[in-house]
Amino acid sequence: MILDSPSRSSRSAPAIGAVRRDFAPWKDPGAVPLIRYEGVRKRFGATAAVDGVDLSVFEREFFCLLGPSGCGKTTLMRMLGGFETPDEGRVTLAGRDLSGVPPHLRPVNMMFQSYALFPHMTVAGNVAFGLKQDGLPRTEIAARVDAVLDTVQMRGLADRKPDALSGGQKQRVALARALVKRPKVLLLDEPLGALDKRLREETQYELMDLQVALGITFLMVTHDQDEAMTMADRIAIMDEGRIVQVGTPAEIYEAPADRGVAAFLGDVTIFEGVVQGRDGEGWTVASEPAGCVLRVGEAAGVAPGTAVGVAIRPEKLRIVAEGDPAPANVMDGEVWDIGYLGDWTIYRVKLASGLIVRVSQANAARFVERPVGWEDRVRIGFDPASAVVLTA
Amino acid sequence: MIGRDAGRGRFLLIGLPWLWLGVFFLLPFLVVLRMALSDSAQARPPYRPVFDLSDGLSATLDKIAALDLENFRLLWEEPLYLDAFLTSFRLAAATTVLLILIGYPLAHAMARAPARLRPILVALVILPFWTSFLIRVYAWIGILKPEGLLNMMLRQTGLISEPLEILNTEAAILIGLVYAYLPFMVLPLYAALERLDATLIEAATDLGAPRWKAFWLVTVPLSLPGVLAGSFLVFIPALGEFVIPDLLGGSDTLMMGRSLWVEFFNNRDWPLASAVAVVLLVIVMGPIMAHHAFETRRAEAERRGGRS
Ligand SMILES: Nc1ncnc2c1ncn2[C@@H]1O[C@H](COP(=O)(O)OP(=O)(O)OP(=O)(O)O)[C@@H](O)[C@H]1O
Ligand SMILES: [Mg+2]
Repeated sequence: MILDSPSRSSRSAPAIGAVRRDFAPWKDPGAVPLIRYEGVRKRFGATAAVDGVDLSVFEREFFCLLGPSGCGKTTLMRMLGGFETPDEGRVTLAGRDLSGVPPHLRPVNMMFQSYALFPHMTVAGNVAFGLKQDGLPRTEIAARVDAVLDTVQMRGLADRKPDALSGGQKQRVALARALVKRPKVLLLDEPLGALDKRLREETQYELMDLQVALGITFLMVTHDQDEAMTMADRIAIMDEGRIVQVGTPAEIYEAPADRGVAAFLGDVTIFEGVVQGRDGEGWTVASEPAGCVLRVGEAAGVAPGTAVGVAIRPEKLRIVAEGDPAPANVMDGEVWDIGYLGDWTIYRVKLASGLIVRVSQANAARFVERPVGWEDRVRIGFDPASAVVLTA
Repeated sequence: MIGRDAGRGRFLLIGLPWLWLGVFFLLPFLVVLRMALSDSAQARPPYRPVFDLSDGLSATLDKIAALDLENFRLLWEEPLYLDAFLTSFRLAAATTVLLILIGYPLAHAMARAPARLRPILVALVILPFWTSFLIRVYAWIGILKPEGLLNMMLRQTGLISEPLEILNTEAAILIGLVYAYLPFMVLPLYAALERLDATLIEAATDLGAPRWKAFWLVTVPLSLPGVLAGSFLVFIPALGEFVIPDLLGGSDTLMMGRSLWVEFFNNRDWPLASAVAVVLLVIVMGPIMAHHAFETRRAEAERRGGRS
């Protein structure tokens, strides 16, 4: 599909990346968002924590806010919980303006980054807290607490105090406590931050299953890109209080809006250059760092003379062995560094211009006839459609 | 070699506090107890010791069997002393309650103040300690006396026509006690409240509790150890307080500290004064033991992780 084939022109634009599940209300012009941020701003003294955000999240969506530390993710989310008030703009939930609605009257629940479990109450007491506030009958409270503790597999520890729980157990209790009220929206502030890698990956899938099963909208904050890519239906990339791009994980990875997003999400090499002219359906870009004229696919908003960056991911580059058919773009270089990761090997190849390009190759076979070694001269290349042309 | 050194180190570590307690608490207590069991006499010192170091064991046992506990009986039978006990107890309890009511909001506001202001606020609370305690109590006389500051102000604003009689009443003692012990209540409360994680309150409101309920269900239970610590720090010394009742109270309000003073210096009845001291100590030990038991149980419950 990516190779230049004659059939390409007759087809509609190729789909990007993997298709997750049959769920894309954001593509439906008639769909009404559940959560809306409209021109929201918030300053703390001199810092603009949230600087003009417009955002829509749909019902049953698993939405991730992703961005570097201090970019305003927590602040944006806390506005929905009612713990921060926007200086400007407004936040609506199911069409209702939330301004002036105190936290205890909002149909959202939050799972705090620090879990914030009440240390003087047992696990069951913590989970029952929210239901008691609603004045439910005791028998119903007990039944619902038991049920939700079953869901998170914490029933056996219902009588423990939080101090006597491990990090993973606390996280489960915090989740149960936030879920038991069956909120419209569950807010999760780096819910897995305190877990080790293994437990974290397990929990990621559990959370996703739970979200689909319960049909609750999840709004999650994280600064771990893998976590966001794994879990989210859509991701909003934030930087310095602004939203830079919103899209599905695949869209953001394969079609980043600018250099910042491309570099933030995964590895990328960017060849700076100037558009030379038309080349079939694509363009040619003269790039000094690449040391050649690169052929790239269709790109919006470019014309001859535009300064662009040609971004290419390591897994879309390959080392061209002698005798193999060469792709459209080839460059010669020297192997500078090799990182063997088991499933992948990362080669850092130094071009004549001094630019170091990262190339990754899947280790599909256990043994290779002629392995690439340090300081070998190699030829690397990529197909025009694999690259992204960045104008910003 | 190393083992013996470590052993000695451990002995020093554990032994020193015991030695300290023995020399500065147990020994004086035994001296006072012996005095309390003796009879008063026209002598120097003014009592006839019951026990003597030169007594043998059997002589000591005989003497113990023959003790009449006369001084303690007198304390129990003479309404004057019982009254003094009750007055002390009542005033100390009232002081503690008032201080919780005043100190809790104060400590809460301090703990919620911007972080850079907090050290200044703490400094303000302990600032009065830089002036002599006696001078501060005398200042209260100046404020409370009939032609004092308070009455002057009240009269000028036209709230009263006749001066209020505050000095030399129980009210004056209470004011003095509350004033003097405020830091002892505020500081432990502040320590407990400042340590309290603000996100716990947010979590409570997030789960549907209005602010006042979040305060009642989360802040209050979690600051209870601070309330308890502050109460002991206030109640125990207030029970035996002497200076404040002596200077601010009238001659008709007799408190334990005062009667102890009177017996010791005015009546030169050292044994009776010692008996008062022993009883005071025993009374104070009660709540301390209760507190200790409470803390131990709480720690144990936490360790076991069960419902408490
Ligand atoms: N209560 C506050 N007072 C002052 N400044 C604040 C406050 N809360 C947040 N900020 C500032 O606002 C900016 C955004 O903070 P926020 O907590 O939203 O970041 P974040 O994206 O959640 O970061 P992290 O990934 O580290 O949690 C930061 O510069 C932070 O210092
Ligand atoms: Mg944060």
